[in-house]
Amino acid sequence: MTASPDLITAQITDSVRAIVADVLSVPADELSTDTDLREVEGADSIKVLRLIARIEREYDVELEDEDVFGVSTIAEVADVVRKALDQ
Amino acid sequence: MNGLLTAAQLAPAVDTYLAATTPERRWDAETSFAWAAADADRLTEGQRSAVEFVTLIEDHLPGYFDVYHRHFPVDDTVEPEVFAHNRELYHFTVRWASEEDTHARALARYQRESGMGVPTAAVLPRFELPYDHPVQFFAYALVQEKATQIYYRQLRAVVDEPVLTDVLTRLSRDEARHFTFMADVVARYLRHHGDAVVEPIRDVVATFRMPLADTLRGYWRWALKIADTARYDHTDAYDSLIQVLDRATAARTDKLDELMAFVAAARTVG
Repeated sequence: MTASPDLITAQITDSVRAIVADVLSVPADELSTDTDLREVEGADSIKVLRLIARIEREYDVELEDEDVFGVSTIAEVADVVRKALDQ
Repeated sequence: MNGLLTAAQLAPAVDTYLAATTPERRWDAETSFAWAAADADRLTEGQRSAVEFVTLIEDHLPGYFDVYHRHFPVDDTVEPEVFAHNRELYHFTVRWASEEDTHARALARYQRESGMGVPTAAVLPRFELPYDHPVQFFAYALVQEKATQIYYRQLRAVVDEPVLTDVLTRLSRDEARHFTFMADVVARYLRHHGDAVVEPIRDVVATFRMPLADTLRGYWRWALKIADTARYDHTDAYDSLIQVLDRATAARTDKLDELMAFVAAARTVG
């Protein structure tokens, strides 16, 4: 049985949220899907890049510059990961 | 472009900048360094990558220079008073360009002399700054020059290679002077135009991206790699911007206070 697109997106979102929580040292339950990564306390531009790099490794995808610089929220990160997986 | 300083308002900043580069302080890539002692074997892989990265950034000077030339033309396409401003600015721009070109030459020569190899020139898309207010070109450069100065200082602190240390010291000092000029001009805009320049400066901070972040393929991966070698975060420069805003004028306004709070928040979170 193949997982539905919504379920896959939800799984990616949860995974991204966990990675963000770990890299930025904040509780995962304080992060909503529309949390702006650069507004999380303790975040800086390099930490955001680090968590994107970790997400790349976890999903074995390569994100382009416009993806990386164009995303702000967990939902947007999950979306570009999903698209990269679909390619 | 509306909202320009007059030539007379700009001139003291240009005079101060040019006066700060006395003949004895000038240097060149050909004779100022002990190139025979340059040794890349003393660098880590990350440090080599950092040198390659900053060489590429500095070598794109023609793109940066072209932006100022296009937006501040020195010909009959502009009104006489605008021409007067642009001609005054040109005194700065050509000296600045000469110094930045020297940086590119010094870094490229370091690569050759140290054994890193011959750097190849990167052909990149046209560099553009999407601004419509003149203060934005100086506020952008203020942040960029300070961020670059800070990075050279951080890199120098972890490098154990005397020739590269010397090169980075020279570069860092130059960037500090460039920052001082940009800070002087931004402060003059605040004094002469007040709140009218606050929103344009805010826009620069809100949309800031280091040069080539949009044009160099794989920029973010390289930026991450060099940040592992020495701290690299352009928001480190925001403390300096806040100081400039704070000291620019005694006539503090709510809008200026709001801008400073905005920059401080951006500094904290990147």
